[in-house]
Amino acid sequence: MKRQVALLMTIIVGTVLILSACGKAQNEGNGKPENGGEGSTGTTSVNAFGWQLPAKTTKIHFYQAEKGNPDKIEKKQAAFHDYLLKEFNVDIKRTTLDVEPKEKLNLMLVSGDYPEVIAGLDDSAISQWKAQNKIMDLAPLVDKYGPNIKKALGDRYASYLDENGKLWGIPRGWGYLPIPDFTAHIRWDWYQEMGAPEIKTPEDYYNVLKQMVAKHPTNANGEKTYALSWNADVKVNNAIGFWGLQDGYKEDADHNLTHWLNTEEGKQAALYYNRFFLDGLMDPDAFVNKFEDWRTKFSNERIAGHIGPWWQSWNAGHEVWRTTDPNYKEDKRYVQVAFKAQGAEKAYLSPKDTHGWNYTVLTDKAKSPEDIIKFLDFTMTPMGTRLMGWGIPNITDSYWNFEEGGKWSFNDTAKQALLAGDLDYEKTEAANGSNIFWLAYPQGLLSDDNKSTAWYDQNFNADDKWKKLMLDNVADTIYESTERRVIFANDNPLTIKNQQIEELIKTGFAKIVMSKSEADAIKNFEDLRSKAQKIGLSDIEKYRTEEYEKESCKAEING
Amino acid sequence: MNYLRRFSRERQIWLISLPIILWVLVFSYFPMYGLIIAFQNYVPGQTMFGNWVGFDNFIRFFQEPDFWMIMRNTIVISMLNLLIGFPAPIILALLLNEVRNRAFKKTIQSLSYIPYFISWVVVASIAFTLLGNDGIINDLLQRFGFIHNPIQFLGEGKYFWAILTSSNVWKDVGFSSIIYMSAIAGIDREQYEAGKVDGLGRFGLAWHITLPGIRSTIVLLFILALGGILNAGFEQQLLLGSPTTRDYYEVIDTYVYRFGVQFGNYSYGTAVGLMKSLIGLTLVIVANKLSKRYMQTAIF
Repeated sequence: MKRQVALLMTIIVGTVLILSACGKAQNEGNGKPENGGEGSTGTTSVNAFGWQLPAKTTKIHFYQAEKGNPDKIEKKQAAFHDYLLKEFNVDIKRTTLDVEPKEKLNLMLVSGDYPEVIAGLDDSAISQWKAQNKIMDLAPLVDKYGPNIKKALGDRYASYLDENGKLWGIPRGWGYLPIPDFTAHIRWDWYQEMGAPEIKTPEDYYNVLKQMVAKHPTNANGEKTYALSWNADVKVNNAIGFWGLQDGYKEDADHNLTHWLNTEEGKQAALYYNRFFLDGLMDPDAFVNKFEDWRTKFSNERIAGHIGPWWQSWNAGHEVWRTTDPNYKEDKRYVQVAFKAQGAEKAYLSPKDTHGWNYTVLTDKAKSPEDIIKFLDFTMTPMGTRLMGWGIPNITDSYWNFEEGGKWSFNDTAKQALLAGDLDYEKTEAANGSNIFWLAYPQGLLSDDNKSTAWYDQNFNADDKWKKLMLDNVADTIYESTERRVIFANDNPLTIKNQQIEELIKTGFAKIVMSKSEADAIKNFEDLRSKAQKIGLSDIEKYRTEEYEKESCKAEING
Repeated sequence: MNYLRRFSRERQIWLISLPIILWVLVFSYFPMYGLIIAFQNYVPGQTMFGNWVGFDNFIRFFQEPDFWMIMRNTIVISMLNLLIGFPAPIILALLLNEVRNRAFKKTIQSLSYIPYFISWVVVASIAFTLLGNDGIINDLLQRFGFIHNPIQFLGEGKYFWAILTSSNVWKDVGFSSIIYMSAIAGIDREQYEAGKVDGLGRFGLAWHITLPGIRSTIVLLFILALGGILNAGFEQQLLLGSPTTRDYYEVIDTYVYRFGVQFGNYSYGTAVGLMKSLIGLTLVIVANKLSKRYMQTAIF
């Protein structure tokens, strides 16, 4: 009897255990959330953004591989973190450190101490982490949980897969945003004072700046003025784009790429900047200035023109003068202008790699990769991108308003402040957290209206007369460079050669520009070319041409 | 047996030294195992015992197009530091020793130490204020009519070594003189009395009594300085240098930082660093032997 009771009990207990295990497995298989857990609501519901709240809090604590002030990042993310936790049940936290990201990533690999998610890995880092099996193939997860990722990326999706069809990272900041990054600038009120003579060529630009400096030889403090100044971070490849060179290379009819050092256009460009120096129009500290030194000179009205990123003259020019000059008038500012050298097809100043800046990866430590992918998938929807890009809606410092049902509008107060140049970014960004968690979404125009973008301040270019003027002037200098992207992975023997040549050019270009005679400048140009050749410039040209050919073929195949 | 007896006799001293010995073992000797990556193509995260490349990383350094420029800069900057920076604190100590007014002496001493505690970031900023195109020195030279256009002290390579050496001397001279001051304080005062009786003046006393009295300290520090002959500096180059002066400021350490650490070529950086250390060690051994033979003073 005892034996029969024991047998019966065993069968009952076994059946219960099997059924409960099956039930659990079925739950997982159905994707139904578990009850309980940290921050669990116990039930699932859909929020105003169409996001199905997970029963268990989705945790995304990630390291972003870029250099930044951790305190500032912390300040900027706190409010948005709380909002996303409350409204989305997603606990998202970003870590950014004030150290070289490459060093930090290597240290993570060596120590094995790395988070579940890392944002900002470039192709070279991806290959390193992939080779050591530290990151996950995301393709199966995206297939299952990422319909919006696939939809948003469209045909482009295939270009992120490796030769085995594996996806090692979700791109960040991909897409085409036709705003200029790099332009020539001119002091607008001085230019108008001259009667705004036409600027069509580098010669015209030189002459206009020369006349400006002649008319304003010193600033109010008696300090000498210059036509141009730079700081040590000058981007040579962009500065020579006026001569028809694309990102430092000339392309022939057969799509062979030749480095600017091996072209006549490159030589002319370098000699052009030397002329500024020879004529006393180039700040002699152009390559000694740190960014802040340059900014101070600029704000002190010692520089008539600029060749660099568009925001620099904004930041160091009228945004300062608005607050310091009691008699400030709106045309006391710099305006972006474009020109091209004679014989150049066009000026290529702002290359746009639509592939994205870099990637977000999930490491082998990710405990719930499917939940993370679900959230990344949400951020890829136009409304998800708006939320992540513009931050918390419907509060005083919001950039936008959002209503149930998907209706949205820009916050007029913030918009007017932006257009008037009064927007306090530090305050509003700390309050709404815009773009602090840029894990996967695009920077290009959003698919539902084809005009809004994750960069809040770029949404009103048509309403801002100065930005509109800039775009009208330089729109033709923006070009897509996706097919020219080239990866110098760690195991590529050309990587070191490429690094050496880039370092050499930084020094060599400065020497050419600061040469004391044209003959010296030519000699320094030839010396630089010869040194670069010795290191292996022709190997780099060949490699870039081959990669360009491959990327072009891929693009053709993908549509 | 003899060693054990001696150890037993000196056990209290060994006990006192134990923490320092442990510190040196843990922080200076234990990490040396990492030097093996100089002979590999090491990839962070992968094993340190695979992918051997022998002496390839060393050979690569010698074949670098900038090799001679880097070696020239390293040696010239080090030699300038040795020739000017080494005797400067000795001279300062001798001069301070001659100052009779105690308050004045203490004030000068304290003032001379201060620059040692100023970071290179601040020193670089002072240098820019003084030597920039809009700096005080150019301004003065222009005001007094010596020049019409500013001199690019920081933008032209030909001034770089002089600026670097002057900054090094200014920063270190006071602090480095402390050890000589203490060595001078240890000289028997009776020797000075005897010198005076023999008719020596102040210069004679310094030459015949003070300098020989601190000779062993000078030799010891000179041998150690030789060991660091390839340590030509690092922060000062990065902070005071610019693309236009790279041909004059790039030294082994800045090169290793740039190509080894920043670009993630750790094996290469380690190989160059190891080579530098071996040269330094060789110089210390040779200098020590020569000093032992000719001056009867040695550090080991």
